[in-house]
Amino acid sequence: MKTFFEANIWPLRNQLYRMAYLWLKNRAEAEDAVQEALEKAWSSREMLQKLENPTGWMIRVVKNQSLQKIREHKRWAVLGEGEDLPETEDLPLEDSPPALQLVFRFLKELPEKQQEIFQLREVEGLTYEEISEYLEISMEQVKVNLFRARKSLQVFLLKHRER
Amino acid sequence: MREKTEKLLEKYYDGETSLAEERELRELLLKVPGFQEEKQFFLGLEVLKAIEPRDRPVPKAKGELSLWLKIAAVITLFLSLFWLFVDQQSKKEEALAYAQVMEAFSLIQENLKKGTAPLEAIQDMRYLNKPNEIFNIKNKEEQ
Repeated sequence: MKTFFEANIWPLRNQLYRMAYLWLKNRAEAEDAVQEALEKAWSSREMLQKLENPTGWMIRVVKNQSLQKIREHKRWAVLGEGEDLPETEDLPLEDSPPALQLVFRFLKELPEKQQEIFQLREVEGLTYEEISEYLEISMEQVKVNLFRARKSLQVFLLKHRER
Repeated sequence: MREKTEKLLEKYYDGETSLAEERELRELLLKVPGFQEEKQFFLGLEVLKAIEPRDRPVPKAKGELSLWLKIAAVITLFLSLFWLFVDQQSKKEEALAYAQVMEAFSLIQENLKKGTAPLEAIQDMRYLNKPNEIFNIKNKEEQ
């Protein structure tokens, strides 16, 4: 018999990992961010069970863990006294295939909210309703942001073609 | 097929496609020539979709018993209590049986006493020969 955590939270792991990977661009750090978030969820599992939208809570926690890691990188860059340590957002994509690099180059051009909505739709295959619930925003915001992201994609691919 | 792909792509860029149409668009792009950038981009999305983290253990609270362990503990507790109850009952029954046997023995003893009571008069007969013993009088048969 599965617990609430095993049935509802643990299965989100892959999806959360891909979101963390989008923010951190580093697999090991994305794994750590997700694991830390899952451990937080485990210790708050009773509270989580009472929430209407535990997935939204999980996405927020993974995002916070990812942001914390980005801040740590920035702090190290300052501590390096002038050493030119790149920020996490600019890290190379660990020998990723060119097609994936193209996706990341495009996503980097988008505002954060559009990035998240675009990924949830295009990679995770979620409906507008699900995205609206997961990100705790209105359906209208989902549609508008997705429309803008796709228009940007059209321009991005056009530029890519002309190169 | 190309025309259909173009139409779907236009609809997609306008944010008007359903999830089913988006799947159809990706399948069409695999078949039609051209659309190199779109093909590469959607391939990149598929690559991203296939990325998964390495296996890690499900978090578990230290010292906390799993559900099965809890069930096993409860069953063991009930079995122990049941065994204690049965053991107690059999001891009570043994004590009762012992008391009954003892009562029966005492009854037998009492009745035996009653049976041997008339024989007590015979005890007095041992004094019949006493004068002869005292005065050393020998029986005629012995003479």
